[in-house]
Amino acid sequence: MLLRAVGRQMTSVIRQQTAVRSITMTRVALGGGGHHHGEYKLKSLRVLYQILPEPQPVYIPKPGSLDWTLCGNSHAKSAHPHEPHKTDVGSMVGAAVFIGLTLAAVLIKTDTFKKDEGHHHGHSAKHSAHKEEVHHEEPEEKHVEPEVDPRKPEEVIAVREAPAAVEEPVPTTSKQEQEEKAVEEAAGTKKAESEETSVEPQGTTSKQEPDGTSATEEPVPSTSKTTEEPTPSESKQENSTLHCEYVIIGSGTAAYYASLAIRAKQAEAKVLMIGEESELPYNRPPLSKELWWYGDETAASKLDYTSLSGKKRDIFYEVEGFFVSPEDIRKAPHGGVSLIRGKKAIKICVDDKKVILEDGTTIGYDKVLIATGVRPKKEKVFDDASEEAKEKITYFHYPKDFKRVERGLADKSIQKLAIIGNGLLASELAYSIKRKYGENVEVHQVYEQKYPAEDILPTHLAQKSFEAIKNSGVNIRAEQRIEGVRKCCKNVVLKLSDGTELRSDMIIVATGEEPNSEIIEASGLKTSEKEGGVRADKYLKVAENVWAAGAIATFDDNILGSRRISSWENAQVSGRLAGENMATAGKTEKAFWYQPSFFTKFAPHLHINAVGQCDSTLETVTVYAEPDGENPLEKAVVFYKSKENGNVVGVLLVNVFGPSLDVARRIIDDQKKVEEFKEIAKLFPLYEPPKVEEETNEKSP
Amino acid sequence: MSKEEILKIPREEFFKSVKMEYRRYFEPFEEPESVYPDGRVNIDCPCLHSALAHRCGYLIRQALVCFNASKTTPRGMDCEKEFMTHAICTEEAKSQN
Repeated sequence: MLLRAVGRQMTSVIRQQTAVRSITMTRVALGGGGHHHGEYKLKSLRVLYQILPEPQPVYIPKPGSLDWTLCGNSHAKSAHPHEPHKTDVGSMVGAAVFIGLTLAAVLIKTDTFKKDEGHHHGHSAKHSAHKEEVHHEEPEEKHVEPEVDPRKPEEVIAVREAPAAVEEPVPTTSKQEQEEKAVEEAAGTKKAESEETSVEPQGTTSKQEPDGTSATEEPVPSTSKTTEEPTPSESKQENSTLHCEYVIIGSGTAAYYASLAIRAKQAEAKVLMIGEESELPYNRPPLSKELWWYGDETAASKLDYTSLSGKKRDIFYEVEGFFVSPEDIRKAPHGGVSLIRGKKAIKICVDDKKVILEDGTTIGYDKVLIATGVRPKKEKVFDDASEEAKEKITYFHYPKDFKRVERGLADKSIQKLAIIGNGLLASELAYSIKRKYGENVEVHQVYEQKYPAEDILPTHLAQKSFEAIKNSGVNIRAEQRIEGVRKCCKNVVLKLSDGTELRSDMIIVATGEEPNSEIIEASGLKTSEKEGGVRADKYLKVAENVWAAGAIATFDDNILGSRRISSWENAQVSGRLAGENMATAGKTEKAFWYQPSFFTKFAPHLHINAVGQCDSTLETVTVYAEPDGENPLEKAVVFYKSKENGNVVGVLLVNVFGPSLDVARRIIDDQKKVEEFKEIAKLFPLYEPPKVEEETNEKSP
Repeated sequence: MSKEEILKIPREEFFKSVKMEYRRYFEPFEEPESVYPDGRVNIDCPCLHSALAHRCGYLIRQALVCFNASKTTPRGMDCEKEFMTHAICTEEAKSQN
């Protein structure tokens, strides 16, 4: 009895969390400096030219043209009469002493020189730039020296920080900045020189300077490198570093479920999601299904619909209060999930364990998950259209696309709609929009192939879908290529390959999708040529401390080989699996085992669920139930046989419900070579059992 | 176009018993249970993942641990404080944003 009370308490609490949410403004969590690589060299040289007394062209020695010694003159091979370089013995000696002491301090106090592996990010070109710079730094050193000497005791600590701190800090105090800068200038100079004398430190450690205060002092160009990360607690204590245990790149379904799985396995885990989209993590399938079928006038603004149980639901997985803010996540005593919205991650430095965002912010991680997903595939004919025409063309993938189309339909500015594509998204949209707006909208579906969904469905079913979509009122223009598109009066006009023209108020392009794989290439991770996306093993692991999940991951499926699946259930299942494996890394890891399914509906009596490899180029066996009076729905099961040995690799169910998908999963996992398909079809509820009521278990995402 | 076989199975044949070799695919399925037979809550249930991942998740974890360890009848009478703390935390989280 109290169980019920407890249950009630729990459900009421959980209900609070899932109550109607308000979509707040995007939070810009981080500012950050930049990594400006090449600019500084030019800037510093230009600044220097202004300071030097002589207006002659400055002599810049060629790399390698000088004999450098620590105490002595540099003998330029082609001496320019008015060289700015002054051979000042006093400052050379002072510099040598200073450098020697610094080196000693670094050697003793840090283990910068102990690690064998240096991190050479290919910036060796900068070393020659250093040589050029050093010349010009010499006269400056007089200014720098008196500044630096009194700071020597602090410098020892600062030097240890210099190799440690990597990214562009939120400046703590300007004094600290100047300190670090002075140290780094010296460090930069010292390191450039010492390289010549073949005291080989492990790569140069010089910091990237922010613009502002370095106008008068010479900034030290080139990127920052860590030779070795100090213990994670040290780097975490640094105020200037952003670091999170678990970093997830992406804020979609796979990312969300991974964050849940991580927190479930490791109770106090800190998770940071970095999403390019500005919305909270949301569920995508309703954008072409439930929001149209069950949504009302608030759907366009709140993205909600009335579910079959009568409750209002929106597409967001969690309210904003679920998340910890990115500023607080490091100090959060019990961890949490934090979210950076509207920022794109462009690179992962696998060796350094850092994620770099588009605006230059760097985020350190212990384990990272790539869950960047897919985006709509662009079509050339629409990208090349005029700006006027483009105003009436949209791809369909994001909530803003849904809002735009729904608002246009609701206020009657869209009365004629053309949907391009024959895939599941295009067909669903055609069906859903026609279902909601009926006679108020003219829907045309235009594609190059013969039948809708013909790369999944066997021909006879594809034909049936074609008929069903036509019967629901959609005007299908099959086997038409788009030759051109132009704006004419208030409409946009499509020129089709059979010569006709199609006028509409809006064009929705839904021809396909491509993976967001730029970050994969930029980070040097392996991509799959055949499938796109990133190569992962059966544990969804890509590289050391890097995992991948969702539509971006081409993973090894023991049964069906290497695949990349772009469906909601795969995002959920692989997100959970990757999250679990990340949290239990090194202890127990689970291989991929649960075949994801997908669900689609693009005609009133064609409710399709499928699992496994449903590819119409494979040999198929379809078992139909015979239609009888009581059964208006035509039921069928389609088995897809593998090319190699005829095993069942995919099962597609038409209007068949119940636990059928799990039965299908067992058949696929068993790699069953079926001889009698009619026998195995008995496992699926093709007919209602006599006198017992069958539950229609609608499996919606 | 690849080979497409179409079979039709009439009603009578469908209800005849299935051959032995295919029966095992139809074995009943086990779902992870949310509550054990003795009344304790299964904290590993996927249904709790969302609540546990919430920023107040540690509080409900404590509450559930207390609930499972509770010896009172009905179970959990002594855990009211933990559950209330969690409820207050989630309320604050909701109103903060």
